Amino acid sequence: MEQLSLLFDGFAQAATPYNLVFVFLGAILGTAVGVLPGLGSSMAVALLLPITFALDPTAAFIMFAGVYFGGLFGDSTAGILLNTPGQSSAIASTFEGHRMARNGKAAKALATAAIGAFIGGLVSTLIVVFMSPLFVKMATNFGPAEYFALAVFAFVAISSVVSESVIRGLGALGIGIALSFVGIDGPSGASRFTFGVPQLFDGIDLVVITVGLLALGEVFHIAATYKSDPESLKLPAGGIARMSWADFRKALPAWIRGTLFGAPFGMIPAGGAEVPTFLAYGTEKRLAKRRGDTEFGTTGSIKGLAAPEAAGNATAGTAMGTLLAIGLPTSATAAIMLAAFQQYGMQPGPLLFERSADLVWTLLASLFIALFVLLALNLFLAPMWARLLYIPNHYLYAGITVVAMLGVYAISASTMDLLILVILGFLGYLMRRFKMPLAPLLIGVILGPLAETEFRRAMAVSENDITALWSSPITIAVYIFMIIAITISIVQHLRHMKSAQVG
Amino acid sequence: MSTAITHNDKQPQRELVGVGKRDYSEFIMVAIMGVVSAILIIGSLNMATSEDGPFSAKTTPLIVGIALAVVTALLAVDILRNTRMQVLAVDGNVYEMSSDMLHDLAGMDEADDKLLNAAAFELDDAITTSTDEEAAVEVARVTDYRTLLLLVAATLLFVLLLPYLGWVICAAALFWSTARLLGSTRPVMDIWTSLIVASVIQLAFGGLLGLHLPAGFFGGL
Repeated sequence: MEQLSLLFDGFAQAATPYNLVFVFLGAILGTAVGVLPGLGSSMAVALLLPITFALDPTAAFIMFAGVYFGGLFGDSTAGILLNTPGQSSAIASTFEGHRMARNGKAAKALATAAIGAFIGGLVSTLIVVFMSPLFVKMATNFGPAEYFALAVFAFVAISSVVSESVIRGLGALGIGIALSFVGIDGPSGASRFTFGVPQLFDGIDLVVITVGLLALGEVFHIAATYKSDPESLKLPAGGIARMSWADFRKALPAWIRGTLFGAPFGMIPAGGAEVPTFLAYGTEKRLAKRRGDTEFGTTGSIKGLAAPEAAGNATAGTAMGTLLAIGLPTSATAAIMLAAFQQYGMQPGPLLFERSADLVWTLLASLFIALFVLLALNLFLAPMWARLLYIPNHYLYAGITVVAMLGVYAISASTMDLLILVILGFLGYLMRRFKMPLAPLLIGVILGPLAETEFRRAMAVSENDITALWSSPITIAVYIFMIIAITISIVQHLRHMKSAQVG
Repeated sequence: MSTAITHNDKQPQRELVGVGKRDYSEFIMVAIMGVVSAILIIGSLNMATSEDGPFSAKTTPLIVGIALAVVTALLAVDILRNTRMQVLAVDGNVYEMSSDMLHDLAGMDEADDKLLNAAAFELDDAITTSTDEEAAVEVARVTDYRTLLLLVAATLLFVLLLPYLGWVICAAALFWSTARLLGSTRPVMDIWTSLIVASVIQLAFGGLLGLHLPAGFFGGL
């Protein structure tokens, strides 16, 4: 059990008063941004990432551990009280959660969500701790062709299989990959699509892209659509979040089922927590029907909230493990975390565990500390978080605009970056307006360079033999898995088209 | 057009945009994608690299550029011929994810499908509370180009003036104008709010974390 002693070393590193301050700060900021209506956990990470650049790497990653899970804890609060899930991974818990809140059980719903998020995060982080040697060993068997196959899988899964419109998903993916080309090409030194502008030689910073698309794009979208602030819809939190022992026992199986759904999905690049949260919700729904549970879909079922909430955080935990050990981001939030590592000159992957072992274990230990801090913050301070929902929206979005500018300015103090930020913000608005998904674009930006580098490496190794891309058992397995996913998706779309025509 | 009409019957006058008339504004996306793919193709053909062999720095941009051109053409055809997108615009689906897929995963009935409808999250309650509010939300769904363009102008002004006027003044001005554009009704009090926000950020990040924020002409005093 070498991992345990390493983890304890990590705890010793993380538990200094100086570092604990940053865990708290990250947890508070992450929850706060997650709670704010319309802002999801990936925006929390994107907005707060640049702010950490002023810190040393250890403190920054410790703070990030808090932000990472904090956004997810906060997401559900807005969903439950306001019926406005911050991002699509929080939708499944909003269904039953908001029903509970509307029937006067807001405190119970908030407690269920907080404990569910805690259990999901705890179990999946434990999985990461114990499985990490296995992951690393697996990743060392991955050559260029394997990484290329995984990237292609991620592209196809996120742009086509899980997105509403395949054409728009692929379009977003293409724009994302195109953005990643900008800059000096590493292997050849050729300047690509920089139009002779020196500021573009380093490429477009990923933080500029995420903050522009997610934060500024949202503000522009709000400006173009939003006129009234429906105060009347805001529900009170009803004191501190609490639940009875009987409720706890009722929710426990659902939390565990949700965690089991969520954990494997963190390791598959399929866009994040949407699939497992809906899967968990659907399972609880079917079980409720079989049991003759009348709460489900009427007054709000505690299990229908518990399962997706645990699933969401379980996905986030294993996604972090996959990112650290294999270097593959499986969700948009993990992709932004990858950018954070790169900002500090570190490349996640099997080598990270060797070269920066103390940082990795400090980060994992911080994830545990952050989960406990977040559980306490979300149980006892629920009314305080609920008050955040009463910030008038115009101040909220004014604040986001200013913080977005601050964050991008903090990276490089460059006017050029700020201009790109505004342009990408406008692109983010247009994509929202015309229902083009944002996730494929982000994945394109992140995995585009990885796919290209690995492709060229594979070609160099095999002396330009293209069949080398699908000649190993792992690559064949990945492509077969991909074809199965596409087939299921086609069948699904055809079936729905048919039923839509009949109905 | 029969499909569009039946869908419109299902969603009576929820959104003014796209109901009744064809809306071709989505061709902006076609134009953007077309320009991006043209830049990729032309740029990679004219790119100077010293590598030899079939796979060089220009290979991938060329492939992506051609693929994007195909997708652009498909999108144009889709908008011209398909009314489904119109319906989507009206429904305001949760477009990040396939609603068909989520529907199946969650084991939903047809009646539950409105839960996957982003607009329903807001409208659901509005309808039950009062009809006035419903009307307000409806009007709000029309694209407000004036506010949008003013806000984009405000952010651009911020970017251009930041090196000259400094963080406090520019950030306060940006905060004030964003709040005002998004419907704040107390412009005078907002002046103080925005100055406090900008100064607190300057003190916290400039002072404590050592982030260098431009002082503007204050720096010269």
